[in-house]
Amino acid sequence: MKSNIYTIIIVCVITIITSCKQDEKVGPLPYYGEKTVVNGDSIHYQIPEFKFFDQDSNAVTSKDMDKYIYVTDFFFTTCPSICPVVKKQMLRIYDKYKDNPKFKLVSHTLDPKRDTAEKLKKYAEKLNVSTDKWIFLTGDKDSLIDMSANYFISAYEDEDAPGGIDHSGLVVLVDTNRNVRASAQGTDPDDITELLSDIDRLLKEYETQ
Amino acid sequence: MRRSSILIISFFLFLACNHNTYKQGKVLYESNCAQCHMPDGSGVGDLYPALSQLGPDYNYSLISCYIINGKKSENSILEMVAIKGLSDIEINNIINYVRSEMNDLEGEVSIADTRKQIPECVQ
Ligand code: HEC
Repeated sequence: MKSNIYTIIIVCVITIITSCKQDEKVGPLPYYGEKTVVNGDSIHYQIPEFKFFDQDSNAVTSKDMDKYIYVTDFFFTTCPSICPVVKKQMLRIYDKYKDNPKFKLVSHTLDPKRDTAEKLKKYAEKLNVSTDKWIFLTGDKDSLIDMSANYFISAYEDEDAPGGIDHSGLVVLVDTNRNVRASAQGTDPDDITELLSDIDRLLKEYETQ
Repeated sequence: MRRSSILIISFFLFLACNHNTYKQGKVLYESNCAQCHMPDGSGVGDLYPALSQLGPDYNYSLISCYIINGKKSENSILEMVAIKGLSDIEINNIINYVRSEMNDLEGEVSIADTRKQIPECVQ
């Protein structure tokens, strides 16, 4: 009889503990940046509209991207320091979502002088990726550097840095509304593993709509 | 009894002698090569070649020349820049780390081979 009561108590305690423990990894992803209030509505930070050119010299604007969620990074083809490692991790992301029509990858060069459309096209070929899924953007250098800051990725010219440009290996997840929703260090495989589950979570938000 | 202990001792000697880890090669690989060829040597697509897939027929001695002069094939868009400041012994240890650990091959490129190779790399 006594042991029965104990069993009931233990079951109750376990039920309470497990029901209270909220999993942070479910539900919508957070939003990056400051909210602004427009006409009484609070609006999440959006990256500004943009227009760059892809590996086939076609213009790509933020409007073209609003059907997709995408992961983006900044690099240049001759970058000897962190870029190859980041690209290797971007390839993991590509491999997982290459068949998902809602998803794209966008890499921006920070060295448009050397990284012409033609060069970026060859780079994609050698990476063995489809440019339908993974877009490589080039354009005006200052606009590209400014754009990196809009994505919370810092890049600036620095004579002392390898290749003359210092930039972080951050990769950033953007939704269809130009809101920044997640980020990860492209040099850290564990961080990218977490980003993969963030991408799953963001994709779920569109499934339930 | 005596026979079995001899067997056991020679087994451990065999293990000890056969365990070439090329520790210096590993450390130097990690600080000079891994950022492009990846820590496990798997490379990145066809941009940065996989050093773990060079196989038994590869001419490992020539790696000395790639380190000293850099390397650019005609059809590739990237080049490997020359890596300065490594001694012949250090280069030899990197080569044997790539050869033995990454490609799982027996034997080694001797320091004599590497010392003979290096002067021939000069372009
Ligand atoms: C800045 C990036 C970079 C670094 C650092 C680098 N490599 Fe390379 N490596 C390359 C590229 C790119 C190629 C392809 C060059 C080509 O053939 O066009 C290459 C080619 C090679 C090849 C020829 C592979 C083959 O398929 O024949 C070997 C071997 C090699 N590297 C070894 C090394 C070693 C050992 C180190 C360190 C001491 C090193 N690399 C450091 C970028 C790099």
